[in-house]
Amino acid sequence: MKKNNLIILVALMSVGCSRSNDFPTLLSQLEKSAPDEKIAERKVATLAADLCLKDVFSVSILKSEIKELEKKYASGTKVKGKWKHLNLEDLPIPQANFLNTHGKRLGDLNDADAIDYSACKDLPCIFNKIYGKEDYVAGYVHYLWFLKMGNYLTAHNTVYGGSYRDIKPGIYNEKVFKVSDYLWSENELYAFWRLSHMIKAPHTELNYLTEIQRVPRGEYFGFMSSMTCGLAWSHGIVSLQDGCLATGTDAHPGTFYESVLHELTHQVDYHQGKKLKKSYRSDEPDYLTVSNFFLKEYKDDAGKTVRQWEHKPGIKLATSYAGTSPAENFAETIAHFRVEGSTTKNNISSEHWNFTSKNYFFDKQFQNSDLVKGWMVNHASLISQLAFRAVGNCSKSSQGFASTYFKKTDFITPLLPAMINCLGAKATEISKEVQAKVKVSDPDGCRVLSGYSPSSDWESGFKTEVNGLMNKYLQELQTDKTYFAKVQAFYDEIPNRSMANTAFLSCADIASEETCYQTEVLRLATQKIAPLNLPSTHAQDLAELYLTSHSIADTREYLNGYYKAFVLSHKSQIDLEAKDLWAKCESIPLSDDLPPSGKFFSVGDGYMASSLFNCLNADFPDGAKSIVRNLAVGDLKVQHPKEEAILHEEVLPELQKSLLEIYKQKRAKENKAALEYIQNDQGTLRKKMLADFVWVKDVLNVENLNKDCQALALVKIDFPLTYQLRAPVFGAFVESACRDIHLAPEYNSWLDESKSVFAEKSISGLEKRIVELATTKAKACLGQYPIDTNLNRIRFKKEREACLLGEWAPIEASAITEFSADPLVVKFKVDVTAVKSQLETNRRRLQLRVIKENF
Amino acid sequence: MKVFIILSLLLLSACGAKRSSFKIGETTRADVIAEKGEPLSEEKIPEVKDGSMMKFKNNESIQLKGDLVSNRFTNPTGDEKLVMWWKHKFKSCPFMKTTTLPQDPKAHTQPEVEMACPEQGLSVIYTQGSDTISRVVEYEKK
Repeated sequence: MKKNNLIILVALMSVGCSRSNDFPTLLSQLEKSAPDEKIAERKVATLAADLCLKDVFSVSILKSEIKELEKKYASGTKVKGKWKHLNLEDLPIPQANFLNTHGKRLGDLNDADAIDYSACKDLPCIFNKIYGKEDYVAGYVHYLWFLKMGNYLTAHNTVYGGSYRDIKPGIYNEKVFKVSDYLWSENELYAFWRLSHMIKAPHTELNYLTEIQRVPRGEYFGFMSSMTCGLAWSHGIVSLQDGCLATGTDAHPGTFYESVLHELTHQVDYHQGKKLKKSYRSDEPDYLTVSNFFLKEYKDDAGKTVRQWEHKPGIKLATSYAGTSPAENFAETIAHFRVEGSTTKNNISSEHWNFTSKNYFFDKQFQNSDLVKGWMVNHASLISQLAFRAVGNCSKSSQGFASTYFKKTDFITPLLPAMINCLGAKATEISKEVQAKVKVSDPDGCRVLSGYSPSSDWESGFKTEVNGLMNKYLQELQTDKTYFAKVQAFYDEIPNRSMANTAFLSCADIASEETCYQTEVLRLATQKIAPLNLPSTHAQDLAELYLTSHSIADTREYLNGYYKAFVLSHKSQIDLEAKDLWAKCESIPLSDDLPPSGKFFSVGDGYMASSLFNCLNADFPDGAKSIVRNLAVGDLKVQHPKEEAILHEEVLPELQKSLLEIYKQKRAKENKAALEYIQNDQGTLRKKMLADFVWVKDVLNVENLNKDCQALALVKIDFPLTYQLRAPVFGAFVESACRDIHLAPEYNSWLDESKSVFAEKSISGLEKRIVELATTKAKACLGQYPIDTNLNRIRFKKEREACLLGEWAPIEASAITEFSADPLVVKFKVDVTAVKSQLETNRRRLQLRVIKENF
Repeated sequence: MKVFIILSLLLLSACGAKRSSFKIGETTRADVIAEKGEPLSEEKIPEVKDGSMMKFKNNESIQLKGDLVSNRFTNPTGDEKLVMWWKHKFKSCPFMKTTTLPQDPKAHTQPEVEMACPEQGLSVIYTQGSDTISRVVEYEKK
């Protein structure tokens, strides 16, 4: 936005664009009880220049972060129930939510009492007991990860194996492991904490990711190539192996970050695909265009479906692995964009770069120069204050300084050499101070500013920035000695999000949201600055400084995170609504007649009786609305339209998860009961099948006989299923019941008694075979005498029929030869002459059938 | 009389041209173009003898063997996007089978699965574990 006439423009637009906030917000009530987050590192008073983020990694800093995040849950609904000796109501809501959801998957899954948690009063203690330590970083990292990301960095002894293998707790690759072999090292815990500071939405909004698991130390996956170090399962699990967990140092980070971020980005792919009703977001046409992939699909000569990804000419890849498929391309590109900005920029196309930046990083980039610019912005308030103080101090000081940082020509106002040296020395100190703060607060700080070749982007950018500020303050101090005092209060207010939040919530129309937000923020900031009576250009600068410090993307993410925490603090209410919804739908008569229909709730690749599924989907929207409308802070319920819309978006996945959890429990219970039913069968089903043989359709083909038996056996099983299809549950059971049924004495007795019936059935089998052979011939005749147009259909009618009927006799003879050779036909000494006579009677009927079906 | 015959033939042709559903193994390339217009692209499939693929809008692909339609690939719509919808549709299919499709061995995402009902000449493709169908495939009934 241009600086000129900004205030006039803002004043004019404020009449047209601002939305009056007639509705009170829950946010304002929440913020009264939970002040803004304080950045923990500000509490570090004086920092040595060579400290990195790792050096401040401690229990105290983790506790401080946890405390700030837990405040958002303060007004939630307490969770009822117990976890071992702990009353969940006595715990902070997120800790209670964790234990409610994951409490059965802690420590040794073979023995829930293997670890003594009796001395624990909170969740970090529980985790630390698993690690066998007291007041240790592990407990806080695990909990903090859950608070920030919403999923469980596991501390148990199992790893998911999918359809590849059934992996038992404590056993991996057929070896026995201790719980500690599955736990994260201190470096890995630090790396997860560092990563949590590197990533934002969408990686922090993976609602359906439940666990991040560790393969026992020293082991490979076993069912994948040894090059695979991480797996991302679409139903919400990430598994990591040693190869993905090389942490390095802050100055020289290892491959941990791109590897873990790669797997989390697969989850982003699944999550965003889910919203689009697709398997992968990366399969969408827009991504295929920027990444230069296309799908080659066809059925081969054997009828097998082939689907393989191919590259378009000119494809540019972040890494060679990114060329495997769009999904791998998506994961690799986004991970490397964040972790290896400069290299990635050279490797991918500019379109792909811009697409990634815009859609996954809020238009940000992570080359060293971009990171430095970002730090300048983030620390603009501090740099301004320190620059101003330096100008003030140097103006009064007579102390001599030796510095070549600035030259005379760097200043607009003529200055004495002593003043220039003083300002230069102060600027150097400020640079070091700010760099020190960046290194201990920003995950990329030490990588960019330390190491063997620290970035040169800092000094050039910093010098320009601080020089500009000093020039401004030098001029201002000449005219207004109270300038600093006036602006000090506003500088302190810059981190305060209130104006930004108010502006965001006042902009209801998504299409013009960004413009509205900017206008509104500037209006509110200008209003706040007005009493300071500053020169208009300085007022504009301050207003814009506030806007720069609170981009719409940051504000949106902050508010989404805040509302998400608020919704999660009422998880127990959501679970209750889910249970009510389920009970209501379970009470209607069960039926699987109608096809399933619905877009709100799904059971993955599972199954459920359609009446229940359709009911849950039909009632889901009202259930979600009911939850939102009952959310309250004190007596204040949701009234603000935009706030309601945001809360609704946060409630949807939580209600889905609650329903899915109920489904999993019910299905597991049903499965267990079905297994018991099978175990208690003791041959009853086989006896039922051998009681009568009305079901026998094809006595000639044992395979078909078996299939017919199994089909009816499935129907005869009198165990109703609601949450699964019969075939997968009882498939092996019916296969066993029907095995070698053709050898059963009862069957053979029936055959002997049913010779005449057999003859009839065998004739129908023979006719079926004749029709098969005739159909093949008919298709060949079509090649000669096509029916591609109506004209041809009429013109070649006689020739087509003659082509078929001319070969009918050989077709019949061939079928009869096969028939005569059948052991059962031989066994029963079937009168082939009688059969031929029967065929003669039915011949025309069969011919007409083939003609009708094919011509 | 001649006029009558000509008119009858014209009427028959017109009625024939309005046929909208494809019959695998019967519909010809000309029929497809008559109904859908010229394809966006048409390429040979080197791996399939006499195979070619015509692509149309909405990601519809029609595979030909020689001159006849042998397979049709489309995207699911509405409730057809649900894996569960197809499990319901195929639950009475006596020979329903599920096959894992081969994928690049280097990839470590979950493979695609094809759930087929040969009797209906239909199969669907989805990613293992997902609730969403990626593709619907029509082929000759068996």
